[in-house]
Amino acid sequence: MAAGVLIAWGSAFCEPAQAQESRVKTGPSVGERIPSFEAVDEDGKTQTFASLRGPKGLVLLFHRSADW
Amino acid sequence: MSFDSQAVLQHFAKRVGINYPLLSDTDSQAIRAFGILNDTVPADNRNYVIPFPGYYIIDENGVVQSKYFDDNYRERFTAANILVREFDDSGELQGEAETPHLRMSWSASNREVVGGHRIALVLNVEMKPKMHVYAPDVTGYLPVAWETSSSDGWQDSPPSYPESELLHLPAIDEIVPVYEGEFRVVRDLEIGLRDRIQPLVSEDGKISVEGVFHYQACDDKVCYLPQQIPLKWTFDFKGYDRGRAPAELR
Repeated sequence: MAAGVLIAWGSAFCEPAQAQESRVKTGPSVGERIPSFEAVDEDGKTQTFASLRGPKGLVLLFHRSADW
Repeated sequence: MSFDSQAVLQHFAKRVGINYPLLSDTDSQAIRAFGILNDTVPADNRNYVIPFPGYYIIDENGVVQSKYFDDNYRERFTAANILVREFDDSGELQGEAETPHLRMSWSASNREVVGGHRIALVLNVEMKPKMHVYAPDVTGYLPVAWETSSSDGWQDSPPSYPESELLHLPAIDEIVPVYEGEFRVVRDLEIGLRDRIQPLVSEDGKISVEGVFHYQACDDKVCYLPQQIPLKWTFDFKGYDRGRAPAELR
């Protein structure tokens, strides 16, 4: 299996083995506060939770990439 | 939020037409702060910057209300599925039926699907006056049941039924869990990856998922014969989006 994984990662941007699925980390639990963060948006504006949230809060999506 | 550069995100937002902020976390600081860096990637690999993908629904005080992460990154909740799950949206109507006991409609979060999409299928049922059907946890009566056709091309999750009401039947002095009025049932349908789903795509690019809704309705006097309502969802199958930012931006 280890060899299979190494081979898989040897080719650009490809698939980790299915056997790794139990290792998914999902961060803060329901009921916990998110950590503070700061990041620039696509227009170069610095955004934080306070600048992004609406009256009811925020939907925050983490994804691998917009370009592969 | 992703590790993409601002330039790549700007190109992507324009190309796809996104009108909410896309956040650039090029050094994965926020991804690390959330504790979701994909550490199954070897530390010396250039992909040792990506998160485990998922959604957080966060209230105005920064507290996580719910979250959606998949075990396998190639399978993703669609944004429209999150709207169904979180905001009682029923998606796009796919069909309707009426019997002497109820009216129902079936819909789906998405009309277009891609391999790996995890979409929501929705049943909306409206019982006619005085009518009830039995909830899945009933004993001694025929409960509602929702089957979908099995296939190698997709996988469905068990339906999420709403909380039932407890109905007292005076004639026999029994208390039974039922649904009256309106209720909604939701389940996920995960579209298989390309090799699994492709053989099921029709010549005109569609996928059909069939199902059956079983119920037995009773009113305050009579229990009627068990019924089956055929259900069908049709989706437009789309290939993966292979578009990329120009090489000089990557």
